[in-house]
Amino acid sequence: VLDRYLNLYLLLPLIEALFSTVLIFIVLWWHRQSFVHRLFSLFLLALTLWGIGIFAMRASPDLEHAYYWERYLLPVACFISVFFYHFTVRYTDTRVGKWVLVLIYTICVLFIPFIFYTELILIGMQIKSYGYAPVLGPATPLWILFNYGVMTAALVVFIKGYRRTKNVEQRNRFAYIIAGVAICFIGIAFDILPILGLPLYPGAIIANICFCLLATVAMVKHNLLDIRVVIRKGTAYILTSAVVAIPFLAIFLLATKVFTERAFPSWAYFIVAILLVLVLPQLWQWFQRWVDRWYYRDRYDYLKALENFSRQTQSLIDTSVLGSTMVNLIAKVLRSSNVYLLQPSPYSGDFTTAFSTGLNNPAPVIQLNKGSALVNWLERSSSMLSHEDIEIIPQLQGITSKERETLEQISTEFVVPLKAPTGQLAGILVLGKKLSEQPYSSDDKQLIYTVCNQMSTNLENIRLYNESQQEVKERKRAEQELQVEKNKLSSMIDAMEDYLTIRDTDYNLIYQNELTKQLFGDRIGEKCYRVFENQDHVCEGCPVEKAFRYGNSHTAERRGVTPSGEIIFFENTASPIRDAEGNVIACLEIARDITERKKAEESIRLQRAYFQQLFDNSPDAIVMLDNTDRVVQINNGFEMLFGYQAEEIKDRFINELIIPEDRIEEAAVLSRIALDGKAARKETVRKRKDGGLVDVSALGYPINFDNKIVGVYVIYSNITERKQAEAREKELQRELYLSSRLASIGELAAGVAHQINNPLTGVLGFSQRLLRKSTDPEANKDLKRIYSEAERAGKIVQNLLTFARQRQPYKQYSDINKILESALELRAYELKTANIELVTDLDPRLPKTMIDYHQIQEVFLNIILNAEQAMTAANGGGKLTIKMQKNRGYVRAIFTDNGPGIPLEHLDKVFDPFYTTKGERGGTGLGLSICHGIITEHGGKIYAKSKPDKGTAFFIELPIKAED
Amino acid sequence: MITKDNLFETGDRERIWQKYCGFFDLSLQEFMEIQEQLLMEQIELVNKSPLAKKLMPKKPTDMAEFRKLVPLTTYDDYAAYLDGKNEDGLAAKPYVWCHTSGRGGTLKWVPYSEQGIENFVRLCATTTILACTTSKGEINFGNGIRVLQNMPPVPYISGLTAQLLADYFDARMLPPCDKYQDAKFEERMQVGFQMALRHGVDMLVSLTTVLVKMGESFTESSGKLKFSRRMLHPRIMWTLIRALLRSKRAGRPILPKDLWPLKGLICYGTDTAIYRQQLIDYWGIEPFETYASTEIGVVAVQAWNRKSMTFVPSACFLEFIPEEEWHKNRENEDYQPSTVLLNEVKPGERYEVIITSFYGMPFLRYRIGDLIKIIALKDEEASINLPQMAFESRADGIIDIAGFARFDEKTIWQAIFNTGIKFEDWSARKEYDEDKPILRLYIELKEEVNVKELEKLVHQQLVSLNRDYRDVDGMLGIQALRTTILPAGSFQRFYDEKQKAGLDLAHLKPPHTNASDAIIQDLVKAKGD
Repeated sequence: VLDRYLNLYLLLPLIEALFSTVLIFIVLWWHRQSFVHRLFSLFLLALTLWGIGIFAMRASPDLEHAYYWERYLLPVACFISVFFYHFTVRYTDTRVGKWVLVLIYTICVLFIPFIFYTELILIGMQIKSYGYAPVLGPATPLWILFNYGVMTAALVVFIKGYRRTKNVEQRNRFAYIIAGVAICFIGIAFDILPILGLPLYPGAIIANICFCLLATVAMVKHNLLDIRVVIRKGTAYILTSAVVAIPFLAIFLLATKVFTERAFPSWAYFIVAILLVLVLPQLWQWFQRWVDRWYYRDRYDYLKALENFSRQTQSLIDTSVLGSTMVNLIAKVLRSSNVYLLQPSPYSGDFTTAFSTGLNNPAPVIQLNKGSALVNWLERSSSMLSHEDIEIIPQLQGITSKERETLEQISTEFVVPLKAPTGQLAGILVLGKKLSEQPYSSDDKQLIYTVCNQMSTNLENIRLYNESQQEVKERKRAEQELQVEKNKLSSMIDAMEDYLTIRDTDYNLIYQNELTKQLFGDRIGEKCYRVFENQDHVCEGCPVEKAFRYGNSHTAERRGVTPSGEIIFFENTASPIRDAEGNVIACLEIARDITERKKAEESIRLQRAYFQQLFDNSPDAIVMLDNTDRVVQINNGFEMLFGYQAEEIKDRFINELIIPEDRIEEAAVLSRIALDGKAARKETVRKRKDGGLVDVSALGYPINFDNKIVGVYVIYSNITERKQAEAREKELQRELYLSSRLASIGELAAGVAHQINNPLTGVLGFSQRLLRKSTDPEANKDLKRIYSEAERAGKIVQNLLTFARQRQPYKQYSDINKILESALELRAYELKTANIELVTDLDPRLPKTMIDYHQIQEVFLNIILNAEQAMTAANGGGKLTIKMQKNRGYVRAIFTDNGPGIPLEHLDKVFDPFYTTKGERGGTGLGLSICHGIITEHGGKIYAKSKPDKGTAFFIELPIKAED
Repeated sequence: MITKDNLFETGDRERIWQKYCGFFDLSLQEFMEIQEQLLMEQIELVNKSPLAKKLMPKKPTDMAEFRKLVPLTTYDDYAAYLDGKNEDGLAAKPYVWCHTSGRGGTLKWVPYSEQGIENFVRLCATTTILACTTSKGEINFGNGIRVLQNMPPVPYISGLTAQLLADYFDARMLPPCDKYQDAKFEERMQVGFQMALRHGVDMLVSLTTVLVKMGESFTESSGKLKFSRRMLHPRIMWTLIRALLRSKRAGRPILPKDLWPLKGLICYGTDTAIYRQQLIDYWGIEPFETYASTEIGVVAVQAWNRKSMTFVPSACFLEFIPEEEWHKNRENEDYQPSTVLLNEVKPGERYEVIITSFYGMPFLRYRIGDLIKIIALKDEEASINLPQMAFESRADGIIDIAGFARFDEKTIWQAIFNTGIKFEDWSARKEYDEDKPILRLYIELKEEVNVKELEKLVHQQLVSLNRDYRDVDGMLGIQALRTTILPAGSFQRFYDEKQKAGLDLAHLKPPHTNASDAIIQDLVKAKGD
């Protein structure tokens, strides 16, 4: 019994060491560069050393040897816990200060001298019922506390990780590791408690083996450290091969044994061999399935489901069946609350629900717009998207709240792209939560992937199939349509009112429509020129001949004679007909009876000729405008009146051409009236090409076409002469009025002056006398006033007399420039002192004329004086410009000042007697009346132009008369 | 409703980084796609609101039509609705109203939609993560991070940030927001630093100038500690002893960095770039810069390498007015400047930023009033393939001297700083001297310097810093700088008076550039008194 215990006692640490070593190999095989893997390997290495050390300790012959090994075991135990903690921290990505790790490694190392060189932790060894056990020192509790503490910290890290992770795989991994650590805790307790006297078997080694087993399960089943595939495949194949090898070996051994005892005929070997060949593969497959089922138990259903899906969809060519099969399969196998398949709309490209199944009844319509962030992402990515990813992936920040809400509304857990082999996004699968509210496992995801891949391929196949079907259908439809069109064409040709024939390259008729047959009879096979024009050769100018020669359509008007002898006109259009190679093989000719049209055209031409004659020969200027006032046509009268040629103003706006700037608005109004359908009439002014203005009477009429006003025509009559005559008449009337007024005022003035002159002499004389006598200053002041006012009255009287007595001029042959110069000399000083700049522009070539030297000088002086006074009063100075020029039989003198100007309403009155603007400054209002009288007497003209605030110009025109 | 993000509890660093900082890995094309997608959603959300209808007569069908249809806007275009917190004009009922101080002292009210605030919090989390790290993918804090902050209270957006972050990842705010919301700025600061002494601090969020002042006060007091009864608390004692040891080891007086070793330092205010080195010296960590505004939240952030800033795609729709266009518009207000998109910007060029809100918030083609500079089209060091920017100045903060030379706050500060003369504070603006434009510098010194001497030194520095100014000086022979030395205490007096007048934090200090006549008058008043 003791031996049996001893064997197990020794075997267990070896099993543990072996197990750990195998795990080291597996862990490092694929990821030897990974720090986490290295850490885990270190931990396993420590476990291996621990197992070997325990074995050595237990197998020791005496206490001394056992003590020797035990001293090595205690530091190794420390390293086991420290390495495990370090691995835990790194694996779970837990934030721990570096100093923590440094501290525990340091403590771990610090234990070593205490274990080896003191008896604080380990005093020696003792023999217990199960074998050797250490005798603990006073500081052993610290060592135990440290190890327990570190392991507890690792446990806490895993528990925290377990709580926070939502990943099912991760949770399971953590659960196994947590269970393993918990077992280790118990195992260590079982190692310690017997030392303290409790009757327990040391359990740490068993616990370590359990931990290794659990870690292996975590690796294999839940992909701890990503090494599942290696182990799974390896073990699966080893197991299968082993299971298959056992009966094979058994048979082999049996055969060997049997053959040694009795001889078998040679055919028996063949039968056995054939049997083995037949049975062993079946056996191998059977075992393979069994192993698969055992290893992939949780996936087995998926595989079966996939198999079914694959089988079902192989024969499907209908998208609707495929789609519903897919969503139902996924919902059923994964137990999803909702599954939606979204497909793109052929028109907008937006993805909308095509198939759905699940709790939501009726299923809401999901729409993901083309170009949206989500669709863009799915187009670029081939991976599935969890609902957490939507918040996390930066490219999805552009997802709209509407799309987000839609996905939330159906509790979306995953969005999966269905990619066609071409890479195009063929559909989108949207999965709701699982009915169990559990997260999807990686196997679930794998199934989704696989189904989606299968679906994508099938969708693409269906698309291609549908496309080919569509092509066939379209071709059939095209053929049918072609037939229909052919029938239609035939009916149309027969029904048409044109004569349609087809002839071959020898001009033989090969087709006639019904109308042609009716008129000419059935003449198929005959030469066309004979049938239609009764000739023996191809007709001259025949469009068919040209079509054959040049290979394109030709039209020609032809004159024909019907069998009844009636002359008819045709418009024949001949078009070549080509074969597939492009060679002209026939010619289609359509002949339209244009006899009526010809007559109508004739009539129109005649009317047009009438109209054109009328238009061209009208003495008035006529212009046709379209409804945007662009010139369409003008007549000769227009060209003559305005100087424009038709071609230079066609399509130009009339406003740019003949409308003066200040008349544009008026022209627009006229145009509007005409375009409203009314006649518009206006006497106005228009501009010639040379810029000159011309008085016209404009008469605008709308042009109606098909009850629509399409433009306007305007007739301009030149009324310049009439206007000039009217102006002249007006001027004459004014002159007459002024002369008669001047005459009557003159008579009146003479009478009044005569009557006033005598008493005025008395006033002047007596006031002068009194001034001499008076010594009273106050009285003197008044007397001086009386005297000066009387003097002023005298001056007025003198002027009146001058005005009234206007004598006949004494005309001499004089140089008008000299008269002006003499006048200017007289006023030179005053002009200078009045701060007036004088500018003269005299023409030395001015001819002499018959004028009264003194009267004209008086006129000039009067005007200069007026200008001087006006400028001084208004501006304290100014500029007076005098220009002399010859103009069409006249000498013109222009006096321009830059004084205040004369208001327009007063401009007509300036030559009226007694009209003055000088007020109390002493004007009598007779100066310009006198000037007017003098110039009129000379047969000339005097007039003024003024702009308020700019100045006034006086124009004096005197006829040039030769010396008598 | 803003709730805690459980992702921080899982400790899954890779996914946390991906969620909050993953945008750094976007290509420019992907960035623009997100911009367009969110813009189209924004149009969909707001197109029926009266406010948007006023600016957008019809619903644009694409990005180009939107840019063509909607004119550039300013706050004046929104004031009728926003000033009175009139919600009828908005697309949706706001989740919260925030306000900014406004440049001229007029408040600007900004409504945040629920989705808008969610995005804002997310970007605040991004900022926190980046502020506490110096390498890609590293999440250097977890739930319960201790944040020492002196941000202005709600309804300032920064105050809201503090509240939201506290909820979002159980951040521990020092001092607690709810308790000290109504306390004065100084009190909050004092309590905050006291609590930080006792509880420690991971991240500090503060006005740049406050941190600089603190550092200076430590330096000026030569690190001598004034002991008080409060320091007898064991944890405070431990903090102090540790700080003392650190400073002794470094052979210098105690600095804030000895007391509070920080993981992250976020500074707000436009002068962070100016005081960068000082902040590092005093606080031991490079300040983390963001580009943000009340109207839109966080617009751009620095990456882990603390170089230039990268725009965030989900913050707002970004357009940029090129500098030349900006000048044309400045000269003629009726001129409508053209804009470019982020994929059209050029490195080395300056632009005015134009933003359009996302998530149903109201601003459309809004002139935020900031000038930025595109530093590069990518950050090769950090492998970021998006344009990199730096804040230049407020658009109205540029001082233009006769169109010849333009100065921003940073250049003037640098010039003063380079003279080596100790100063309290300064303010500069354009003035006229007999019809000639000049740059007038109002400065309060901490030491006696002759005004001519100071003027000469600053002028020399400006000549070396600003090429255009060099041209003015060299080609035209004009010295455009005039200096006015303010009496000691002028800035403090200004600050006290404004505080007494009840002005909020943003207006307590005179602006460094282009201060109004009233402000300058208030500042120099003491001189004339």
